[in-house]
This record gives sequence, C-alpha cells and structure tokens, in this order.
Amino acid sequence: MLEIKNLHSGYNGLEILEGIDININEKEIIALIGPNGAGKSTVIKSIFNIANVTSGEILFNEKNITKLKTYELMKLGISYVSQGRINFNNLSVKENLEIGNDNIDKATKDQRINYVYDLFPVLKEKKNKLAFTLSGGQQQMLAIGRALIQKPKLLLLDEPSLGLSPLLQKELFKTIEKLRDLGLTILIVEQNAKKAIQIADRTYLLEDGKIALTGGKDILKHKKIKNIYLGGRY
Amino acid sequence: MALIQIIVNSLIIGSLYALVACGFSLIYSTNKFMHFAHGISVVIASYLFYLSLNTLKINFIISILLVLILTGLFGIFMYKVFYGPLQKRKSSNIVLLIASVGILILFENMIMLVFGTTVKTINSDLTKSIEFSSFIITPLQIIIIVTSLILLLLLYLLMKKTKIGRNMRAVSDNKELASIIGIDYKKVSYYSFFIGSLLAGIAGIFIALEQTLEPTIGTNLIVKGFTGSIIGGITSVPGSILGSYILGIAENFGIWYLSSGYKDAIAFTLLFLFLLFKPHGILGINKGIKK
Repeated sequence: MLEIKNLHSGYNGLEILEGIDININEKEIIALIGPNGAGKSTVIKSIFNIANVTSGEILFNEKNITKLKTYELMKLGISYVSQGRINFNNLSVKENLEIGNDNIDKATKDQRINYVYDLFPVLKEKKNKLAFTLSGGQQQMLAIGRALIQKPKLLLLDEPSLGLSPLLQKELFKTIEKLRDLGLTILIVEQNAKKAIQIADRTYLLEDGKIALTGGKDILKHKKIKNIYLGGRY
Repeated sequence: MALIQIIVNSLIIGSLYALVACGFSLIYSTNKFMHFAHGISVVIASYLFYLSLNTLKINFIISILLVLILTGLFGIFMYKVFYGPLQKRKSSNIVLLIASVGILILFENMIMLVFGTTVKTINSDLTKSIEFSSFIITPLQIIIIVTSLILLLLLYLLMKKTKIGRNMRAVSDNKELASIIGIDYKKVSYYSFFIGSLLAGIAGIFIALEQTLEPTIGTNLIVKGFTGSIIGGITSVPGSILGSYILGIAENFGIWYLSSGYKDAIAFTLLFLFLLFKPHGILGINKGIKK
C-alpha cells in the first residue's frame, strides 16, 4: 500500500533520514521505534509532506505522492495525528470533529461523526464540552476521531501514548488494534516500544536516520532491542 | 441625574471603542501580531464617507455601504501588500508590529496630503439633542449604541455559528494543526482583515458624524481600542468588547470627578495596571487554558 524508497529527508537543510526503505501492506499495523532523535517522527512528517524530502520517493498504491500537498494526501486517504497539541482546545468536541474535511458533504460527515461517537462513546457524552477539558486519553481519542472523519485508508499516528497513564495507554493500544481489525492500515511511531511491537504486525527499528532492524513480534527478543530498551547502550 | 448621563456617555464612547477593539482583537487572534494600522481604517472610512457624502453628494445609505465595502477591502489590501510579503520572509511579529506603526503614519500623512490638515465636519440632522428628564442624548448617539450592540452580537454569532467563524477560532487556537487538517489560513487572514476593517469602518462613519474629522483620530482610537482589548483579553473578541465598555465607563467617571484633560491619563493608567497585574485580561487565555 505504501512504499518508501531510499528516503532522504530533514528540516532546513539538516538531514535526519539517511536513506530508509519501508513497506506497508494493507490492514497492517506497522510500528516505528527507536531512540530519541533517530528520526521516527520525520518519517511520518515526510509522508505527510511537512518535512523536506531531499531525495527518494514515497508511493501510495503505486502513485508517487512525494510532493503532494497535505490536503491532496488527505483526499487520497491518508490521515495524520500529530504529537503534542493535537486538538483545538477552545473548540467543542463536536466542532473539533466537524472542522476541516471540507470535501465531505454534511450528511456523510454527520454519519461519520456518529461512527466516531460509537467507537468512542465518551466523546458523545462530552460533545459540547471544550476540548481542553478532556483528559489526556480522551484528547487522543478526539484527535484520532477527527482523523477518521476523512475515512482514511492509512492512518499515521505520531507517539499517541505520549503523556498517558499506563491504563490509558493500554486502552489506546486496544483501540488501535480495533481500528486495524475494522480494515484500517496504521503506521505508528512509538516511544513505548514493547507495547508497539506487541500490537504491530511488523516493526522497524530506526537508529541515526537509518533502519537498523526489522521484524515481527519476535523482534522483542532481539539483542539490539534489549540493549536499547532494557538499559543497554542508551 | 449625573450618574445616568455618565453611564449614557460611557455607553456611547464604549461602543465606538468596542467597534475598533473587536476588529483589532479578531485580527490579532487569527494572525498573532498587533495590527496598529487598524486605526487608519477608521480614518480612511471617515474621510471616504466625507468625500462620498459632502463632495460627491452620493446618497446617505449608499455612501455608508460603499465606505464599508471599501474599508473592508482596504484591510485586505494592507494584509496583502504589507504583512503578507513580510510573513513570507518569516519576519518576526515585532517586525510586523513596527511595520503596522509605519503603515499608520504613512496613511495618516497621505490623508493630510489629499484632504489637508484642516478639521472637517459633516452636518447631520441626527445630532440635534433630545432631552430626557435625567439625561441628554442625540438620535445619532442612540443609533451608535444600538447598532454597535447589534453588530457585536452579529459578530459573536458569526464566530460561533458559521464555518468561517469556526475556522477563524481554529486558526487562532492552533495554526499548525489548522493547516494540517487543510484549513486555508491565508483565506482566514483575509476574512479577519475584511471583517475587522469593516467594523472599524462603521466606527469611522459614526465618528465622522458625531465628532470632527482629523487625520490623527486613528492613532488615538487604536490606542483606546488596544487598551480595551488588553483589559478584556486581547485573544478574546467578547473580552475586548467588554474591556472597551469598561474603559468607556472609567474615562467618563474619571472626567466627572477630575477633568476632561485626564481622560487619556485614566486610559493609560488602566492599560498599565492590566499589563502589570493581569496581562491576559479579564476573559483572556492564560497558558492555553481558559480561566
């Protein structure tokens, strides 16, 4: 579905990714893990054309999408949930879901908003509350919910568990698996490597802008992963 | 007796300040820089109104409509010609602020060049006083209060109930996210400049009828509009309206007990106190969380 070939990318002349290759098949969860500064988020930002791609190409269903604008990417079925400030704090939950997505007619949009409410009932309960009053986990649900309104084929998640309590993280990862089971393809960048590897069909380990390791769930036992995440080199 | 007259006077001047302040705050919240040249929109509107009504003898209502559209377009012109290119060069907000003061002075001088420095007046039947038992007011002043309140309510509805209002609030809240989800923030900037300048235009027409025309009235008004915005909270349009009425009340009570010479001193004292002790204003946003 998505093919990244020899991607070099970065910001303002600073190269972060030094030639990476990633393949994503339909209905897969692909996890991208690695130490801080390895360039995980840059991969997602390159797909969504927020980082500067200097060479290489990104194909989506065999179409080259490397230089497409963000709204064109959204039309093609790629949605992105950024990290950090992910919602419009002073807009209501409902407004946060309605906003953007101008290519969708109102009836379809309402239908999809109801779908999001079914998926995350708490958002329906709080639909008239301002977004900043939601808890961290609910904020994440809202951001993912907004991305789903576009009915994406590929969902890009940038560190969704950041700042969530372990319990909420567990819930979030369950939701991500559920979305995959509903037919979505997901690329997730995560700090919580263990959890990410557990839900992912395949995992890529990124180090210093290069792919250092790739594999399925058994990657957890790999020496490199143990080194990085169980108090090794880093 | 005097108390009612003071309140009426406060409402009149507060309404004019509010028309200026809400546009200023609307432009600030969507663009994140201080558009001090907003004051010149008031002046341009009042001189265009004078030109249309007194010189070209165009009908009163048509003159108003014409002036409002032109003032709104003038706002877009300022954004496109001055701020847009600076933003493209990634100029800081301080540079934009300095540019805005420059624009204010430039157009003030251009108006002096075209219309001269002599004070101009527009004669209107609307300025004949009506005496009530406890206060005096002119029909124009009643129109100023009522129209302003209606317009401010309409602005509130526009911001709350329409798509463009929602997009403006979204850009004001989180510009980066807005652009990620495909909101054209340039378009939002154009709208904010058009609507903000149009509201300043309404203030300009009222001032042309109520007071005399001078090229420098814009500077005074933008300072007062800015003060109103700071008092109420510069990021909040309703806040800036509230702040403007508070300023109007403070000024009028102040000149009743002191003298009219202290009017500006009162405004600046308030501005100073708020900047020092409550810089986010009454309804402003503090660290991303509404108090």
